[in-house]
Amino acid sequence: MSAKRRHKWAIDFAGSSRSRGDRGAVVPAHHEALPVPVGCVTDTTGVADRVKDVDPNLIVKRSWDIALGPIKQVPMNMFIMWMAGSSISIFPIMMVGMMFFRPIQAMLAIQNTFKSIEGQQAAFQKLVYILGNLVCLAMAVYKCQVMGLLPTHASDWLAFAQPQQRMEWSGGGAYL
Amino acid sequence: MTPEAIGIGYSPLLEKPKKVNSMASAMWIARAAGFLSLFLLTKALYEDQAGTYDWKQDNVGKVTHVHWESVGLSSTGKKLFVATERNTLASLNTHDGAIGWRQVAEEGTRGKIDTLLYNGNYIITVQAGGKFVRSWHSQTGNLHWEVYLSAEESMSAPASFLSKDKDAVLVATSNALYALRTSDGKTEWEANLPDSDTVHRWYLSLREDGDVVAVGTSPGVRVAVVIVGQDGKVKTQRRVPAQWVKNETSCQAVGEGFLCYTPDTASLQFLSVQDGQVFVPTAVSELGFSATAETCLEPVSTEAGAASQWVLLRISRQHMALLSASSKGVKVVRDLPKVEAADVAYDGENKVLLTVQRADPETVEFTGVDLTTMSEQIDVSQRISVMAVHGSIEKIFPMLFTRKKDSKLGAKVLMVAQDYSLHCAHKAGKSPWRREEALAYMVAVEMVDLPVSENEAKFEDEFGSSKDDILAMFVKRIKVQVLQLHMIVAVTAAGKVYGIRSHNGKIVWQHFFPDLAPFKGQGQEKLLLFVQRTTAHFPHSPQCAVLGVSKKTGNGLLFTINPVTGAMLKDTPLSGLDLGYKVIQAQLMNDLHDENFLKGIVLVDSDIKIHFFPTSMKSVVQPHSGTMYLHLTNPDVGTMNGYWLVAKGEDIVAEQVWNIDLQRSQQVITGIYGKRPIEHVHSQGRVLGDRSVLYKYLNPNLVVLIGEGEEASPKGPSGFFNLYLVDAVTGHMVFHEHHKRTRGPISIVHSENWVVYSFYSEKHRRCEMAVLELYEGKEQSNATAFSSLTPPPSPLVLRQSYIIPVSLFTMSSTVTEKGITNKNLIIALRVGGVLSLPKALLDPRRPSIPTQETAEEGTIPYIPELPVSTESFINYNRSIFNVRGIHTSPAGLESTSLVLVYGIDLFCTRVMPSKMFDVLKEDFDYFFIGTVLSLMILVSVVSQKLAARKALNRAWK
Repeated sequence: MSAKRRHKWAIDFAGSSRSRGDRGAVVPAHHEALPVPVGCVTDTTGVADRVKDVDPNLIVKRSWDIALGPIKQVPMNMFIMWMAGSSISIFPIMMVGMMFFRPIQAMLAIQNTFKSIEGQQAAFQKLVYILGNLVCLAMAVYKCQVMGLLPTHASDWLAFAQPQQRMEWSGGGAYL
Repeated sequence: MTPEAIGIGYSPLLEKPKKVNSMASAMWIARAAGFLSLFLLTKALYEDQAGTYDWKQDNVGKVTHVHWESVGLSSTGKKLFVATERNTLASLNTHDGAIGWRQVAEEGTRGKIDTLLYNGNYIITVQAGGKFVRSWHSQTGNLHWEVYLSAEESMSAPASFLSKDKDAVLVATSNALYALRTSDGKTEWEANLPDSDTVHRWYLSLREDGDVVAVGTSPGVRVAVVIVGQDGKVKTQRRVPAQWVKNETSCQAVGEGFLCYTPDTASLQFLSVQDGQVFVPTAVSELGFSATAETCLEPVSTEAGAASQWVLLRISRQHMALLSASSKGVKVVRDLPKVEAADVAYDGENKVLLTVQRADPETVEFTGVDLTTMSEQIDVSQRISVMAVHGSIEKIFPMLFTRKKDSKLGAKVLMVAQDYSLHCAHKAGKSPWRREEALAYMVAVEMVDLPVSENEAKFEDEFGSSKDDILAMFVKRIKVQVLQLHMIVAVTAAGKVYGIRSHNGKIVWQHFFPDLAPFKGQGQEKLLLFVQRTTAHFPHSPQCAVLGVSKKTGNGLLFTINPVTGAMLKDTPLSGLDLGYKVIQAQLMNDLHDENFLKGIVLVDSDIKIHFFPTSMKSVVQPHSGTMYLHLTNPDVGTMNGYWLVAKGEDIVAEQVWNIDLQRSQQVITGIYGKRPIEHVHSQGRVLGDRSVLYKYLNPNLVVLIGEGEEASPKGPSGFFNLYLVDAVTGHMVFHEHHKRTRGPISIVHSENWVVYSFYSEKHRRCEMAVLELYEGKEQSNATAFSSLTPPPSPLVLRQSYIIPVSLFTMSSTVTEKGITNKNLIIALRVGGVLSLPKALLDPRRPSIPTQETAEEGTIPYIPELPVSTESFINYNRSIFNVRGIHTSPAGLESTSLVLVYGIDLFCTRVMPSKMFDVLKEDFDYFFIGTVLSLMILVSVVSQKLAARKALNRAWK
């Protein structure tokens, strides 16, 4: 069980597979004490050791895969951005929406993602992952900017401008 | 989204072209024009919508001449042909007063109708002092012929038929006496008249031998007597000195003589036409009467142009006398005490004097006196109901006829009351009909919205019976909101005030103030109307104030009225509050009100002393006095003075702080136009193509001054006008524009940060319109407050001008509740249409070469001609003429603005410059949407039930 806890998966030809096989049956409390059947290699540590030897590289590689995921999307996003054009209609808006939605979703689920990033370079990989998402977000913002959807101009706030208050009263006209 | 983008009408213009080059720009213009025409098209009404949102009321004006319809020699009296003070000729149905046909001549002296003649088939009008003589077909009102005579427009030209068979018309103009053939208007003969440069008026009469007697009065000098034979030869010509003759002296041809009344000596002056060398005076007191200010001679109807044997002397409003005059002296034929109006009517051999006097506050009494026997004609005497609120009867136009069944005499009488209303007793025993002709003299108007809130439900009883159930009340309330009911308060120059429903034009209440006269500065009749409290301040009743001049004293006269119910308020006495001083200017203080939400009126008397109404407002104003300014312009002197209102002890005095000399010797100030205080400006700036903001210069104290003049040029005198933009607080000249070779009348609309004006260009001989727009720039120096004392830097003035292919009467701009909606200009055209023109067409930022950026901004490429399409006439085919003003008012909905066009007619409608963005379209399918919605609710309820059952079943498995 300790091996199970350490790794995501491990083939255990020993009792655990059998015990999994007859799931539902009551496992006796003295299960560990049962004698090993004839012909079975009791020393499974060899397998475990071998797994341990391959692991670090694989883990790092896999973690890099996860970490670089967002950055790999960048060229695709650029292509989509180019395809979408800058006119404001339903499809470009949906695409921009997706571009915003994906990195934000990834950032929200960052806790879960970070669980699977392991190894010595984990901190760096996490940073890369965050940076990748930020780049995607920045691209979405840039796209909005290009499309003129960002309220960056004075004109965008004009509707909220209050009328000027009148300081003097004046009246009059020609003689009646 | 910028507020401008709400203008749905222009949304296609915001779409930008992909590439701009010379080809594309041409296409862009074509596209823009296409969109524009589409936009304009969509504004037109459908045929079945005509009259649902608008109403029009035709008037004729105060009646001056009347003829009853006749066939052959006998009068049928089924129609009335009237000519009025408002230059209108009309045929009225005697039965109900409806207009059969109407011909409206141009305003001013060019269109005034001096004489009206009728020969059974044709009506002949002598207009503009005899300059135009026109013959009209009496059944259709079509023009039969028209001739031009040499004449002085301002003179009043008399005319009559030359003989009993009415085949020639005599017209006396300032220069000559003409005899025109009735059939085609050809001049039969022409006789020169003396004193053509001094004569103010000619009096014509026919003698029994067929000679024509013309008597001309030259004010302050003499009277000329000319006798012309039937062939046009002048027989005798004589001049009699008469220094007492004035412009307004009332004279009349009587029998063989000529009689005048001079108020100076309170005497009648008689001259024998045949041989009289001097006027013989007879004092009115000798006849046993005492003269009043109203004493004058009134003409008596005659048969076929012969001089009447009698003349009517009006002694006062309620006292007349029938006189006869000869060289032996003036005799009183019949004293007519209490009589308000009288005239003689003829039928065959019968000559009956009809008099009218008030019997009681609700009825007037007619009395007929046979003039041959001097006995009362009981057959024509009758009582009919005419309310005393119409004032006294000013003039009657009777028609006498013999009844077929019992050959008794009968009379139909048309009466003109003091308030210009027309009453007609058309059938004995029937109630007379009435026309409110004072409505043709509207000078001031306001719209007050009717209350709709819960608390004010009791007011709604005004619209129906109080027994209505809750549902009916609810329907009514919805109706109030949908129809945007307003009360139009209309003040007329006749001294009459009306409350009119805005959705159907029905008169709800009316008041007649006999003592109220309009201000008459610069030849314009003006009465002031202020909405002191609106309906929004329940339980305080709304209040309107009417300010004019007292006829008796010449001082300011003020009335307060509840505009919803029409009740006179206790603030002023029933006969009006005589202010005790001459008012030279009055203004409503829009921002200041007392604890009862009553806005005060500041009044300036001729000594530039400041008064307030109500006087209690002084204490409210006191704390604000340092920030209040006043400007007064005296066009006679050509100066504009600025005053500062400061508290001096208890009083508030006006201290002069600046003055501008407007060079009276070169130009006359013809108008001063401020902004409407009720106007809201929603957007503080304008979004440009690069999405930066050009801030508007919204100076609330800015006024536009127009000075018109004439200057010498090598080609003769040419007109010009100056337009000044002046800050009314500091007197600072913000902008000045000079237009050479132009001529008025100049119509101005001053609103928000722009001024639109129209003028006539003498150089191009066409009407042009120009626009000025003022901007602060891309930065606002003070975003929160505007003070004229620390003004922003000189504004950027953008200008452009356009050609308008038709001339116009006047114009105005729409106004809405919050100012979000685009503005349209409402232009009353001389062709009879009322044009609603988007302000975007008068935009100085319209580019002559369109680029992508200008397209982004949404400006329409510049085309000099303004489109005048008949689809954008808001009055479709209901032409309206002689328009004096256009009043616009915000409606309950932001998208809608109410428009009242007034002149001789009234036309009221609503306009939606940005279309109805806040209301569902009329073609919205309520039934379909409602069905779908209820179906969906049903389906969701059912499916929820089914799903619950299925889940339960699964759980049991």
